[in-house]
Amino acid sequence: MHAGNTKLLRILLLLIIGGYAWLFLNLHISPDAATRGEIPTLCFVKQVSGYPCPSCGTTRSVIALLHGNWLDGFLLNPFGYLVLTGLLLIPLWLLYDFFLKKESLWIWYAKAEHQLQKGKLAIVLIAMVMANWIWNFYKGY
Amino acid sequence: MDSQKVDMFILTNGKYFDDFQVQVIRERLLEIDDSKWAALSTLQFKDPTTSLIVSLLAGSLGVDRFIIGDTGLGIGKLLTCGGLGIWAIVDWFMIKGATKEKNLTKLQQILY
Repeated sequence: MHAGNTKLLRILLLLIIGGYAWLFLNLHISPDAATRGEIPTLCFVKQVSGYPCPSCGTTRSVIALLHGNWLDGFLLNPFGYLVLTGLLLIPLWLLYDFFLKKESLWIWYAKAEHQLQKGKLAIVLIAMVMANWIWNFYKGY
Repeated sequence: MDSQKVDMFILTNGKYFDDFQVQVIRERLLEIDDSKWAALSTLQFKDPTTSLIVSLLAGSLGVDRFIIGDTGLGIGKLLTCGGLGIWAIVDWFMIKGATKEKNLTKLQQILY
């Protein structure tokens, strides 16, 4: 197996496990727990500066999406759609690769990364992230 | 390659690599021929200390990963707010090593 693939797999596994654990934790306590101080606020940016970061509200968004609230999910933070897709897709993709003894996820990842580094798409994405960040400011997170 | 040139390269660029690697690089540099000097002298490496500072300040936004060229990981970090904060902390310790690895890969493209 390619060395980069092993590294990617390790990181993905940690992210998936951490992601599901975090989601599980949040589904069993009130979504306002963080604001009330019952669980730590994850975002460093917020702790240090008091301002939200571009992904603030993603957890709440994913929970809304899981309840079928497509609009709320988008309004809380569009990243929720991306994170939810990742949480569902990546384990399935990993299983596919595992059983068929392929490296398709790694290959796709390497190609996608190369494309992004070319620049044009990157600028569009950066603009979208900044817009999302500014929106978070307006929402008063 | 001429040992003076090799020493000059090591002097200017040693800090961009892992200590263990510098010895291997030096030996390899002595083996290759002088025609590679032009390509070598134009190589630009990322400073691990800069990566660390960026990681400490803006790690949750994935900026540290972006600047060393790990675009995919940077996006993952950004979407998850520094991997729920945990990845951000882990990277404070890992980013220097990661930068040096990236520098080594870049150098190896010319060396081999």
